[in-house]
Amino acid sequence: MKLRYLIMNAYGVGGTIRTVINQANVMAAADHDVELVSVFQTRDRPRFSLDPRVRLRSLADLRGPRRRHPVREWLRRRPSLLVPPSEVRYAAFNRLSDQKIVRYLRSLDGGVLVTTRPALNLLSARYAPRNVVRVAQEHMYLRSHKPELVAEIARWYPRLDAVVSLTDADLAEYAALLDGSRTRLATIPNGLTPAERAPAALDGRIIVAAGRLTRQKGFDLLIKAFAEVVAEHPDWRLRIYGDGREHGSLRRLIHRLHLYNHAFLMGGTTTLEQELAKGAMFVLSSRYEGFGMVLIEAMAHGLPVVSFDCPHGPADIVAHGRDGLLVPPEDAGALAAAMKALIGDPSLRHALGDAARTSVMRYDMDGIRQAWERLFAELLTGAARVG
Amino acid sequence: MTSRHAEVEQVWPRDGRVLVIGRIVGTAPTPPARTTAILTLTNRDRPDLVLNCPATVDGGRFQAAFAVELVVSAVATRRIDGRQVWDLHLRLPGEPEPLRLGRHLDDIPDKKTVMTFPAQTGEARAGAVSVKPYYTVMQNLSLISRPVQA
Repeated sequence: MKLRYLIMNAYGVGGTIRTVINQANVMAAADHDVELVSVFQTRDRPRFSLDPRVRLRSLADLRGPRRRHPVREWLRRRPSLLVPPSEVRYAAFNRLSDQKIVRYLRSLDGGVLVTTRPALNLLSARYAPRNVVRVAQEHMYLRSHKPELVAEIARWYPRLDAVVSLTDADLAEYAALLDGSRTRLATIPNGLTPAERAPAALDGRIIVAAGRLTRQKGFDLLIKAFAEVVAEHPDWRLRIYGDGREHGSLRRLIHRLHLYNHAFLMGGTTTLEQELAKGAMFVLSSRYEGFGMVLIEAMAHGLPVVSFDCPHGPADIVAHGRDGLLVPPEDAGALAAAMKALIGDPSLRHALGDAARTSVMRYDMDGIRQAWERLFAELLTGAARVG
Repeated sequence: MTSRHAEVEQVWPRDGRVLVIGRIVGTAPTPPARTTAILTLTNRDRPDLVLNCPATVDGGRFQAAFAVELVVSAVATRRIDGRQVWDLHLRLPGEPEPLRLGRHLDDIPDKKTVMTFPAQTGEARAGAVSVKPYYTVMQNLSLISRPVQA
């Protein structure tokens, strides 16, 4: 199959970028003709490793000094006319990217085009030729977008061949919004890439959490909950992996709650697998998630997890009481109670951890690849019949 | 890291005091049960300026606490200005070499940024002075004292 993945910036770091590169890699390894197209290029090479069989190209190369590229810089300074201002990343787009993206979309002929964020999905709906199978990926969830953007989605997405969500709950929202259109809707979660995953240290006393230090991830709630845990179990420690703009305020919270001997902001790590394996449990304290991939990664180590039942992902991933614990979102008291339950019952940690390792096999990358292949094949057949 | 040191396990800067808890690790004789030792704070720029406070040692474990006034008054009476670093050692009875306080026996590499502590403030005639424990890039425990801008 001829597959084109269009992404905003393949050269950055982040969940969407990692997921899309993983998808491109696995499809190329299965002998598909895969091209990864990055709207912007900010570095010489992507940060995540790309299978050599994936062809990488960029549309707007932003490397090089500004004064050597006066036309580029002139266009860069003009705000986009095609991306709605309600798009979270509106400010990153501009007249240069407008021009390059439209030119690229119009150049396509057949095959499958997968676009990976609302701005690109909307442009694909408007400008990609009808003989291209156009698939939009939602890496967050519909209700995370501003109402103005949802209105644009309602207007343009019916032109797309498919919209793919990470969870069934989000897909139901899309079904309600796009009711009556012929756009195919599908749920395909992110896949777990093969890696060395050592069994976790369930008899240790380390609680692990990981994510960007932003309000979304709720580490403030986690630290408050952990203060309750420490009051009863002073020999337990909390390690939070990640960087972000809340670092200072989280550190002050740790100091204020006198948790400086117990809770540590570990910084970003490129070896999260090794750090997860040191944990006796994993906690996800997010206020919201697109999916919650890190839960799956933790569970693959056989870690028992405690997670807020926030939108979207945790309820799809965790079966409460069987392979982890779900607690009401933003309820720090309930989060503390669940952590204490796991601390007080090592056999529960082992039972949940064992079940977790088995249950996340359903996210194995091979199965996810096959789900994509089935969808693409169905859409290509439909396109051939119609056109 | 020397062959023998005082491994810090907990540091509690709280209520105007700093409490340090840990254990003595490495070769050489174990100190006798329930003995008294001395925690020293050595000014890094003035090695002859050493502040002492009592420490207890019991079965290889140690504990020591001092009021931040110890540092604040030392700075005030000597009219020392600006940021000062104080290195912490444990002096055991009958041992010539004091043991450096540090934290070397865990898997956390960058303690200077990962394990941080709040500052506490003491009042001196010349103005307030803050005292804050921190881990050095060598993973040793030191203090920083500095005047608080009014």
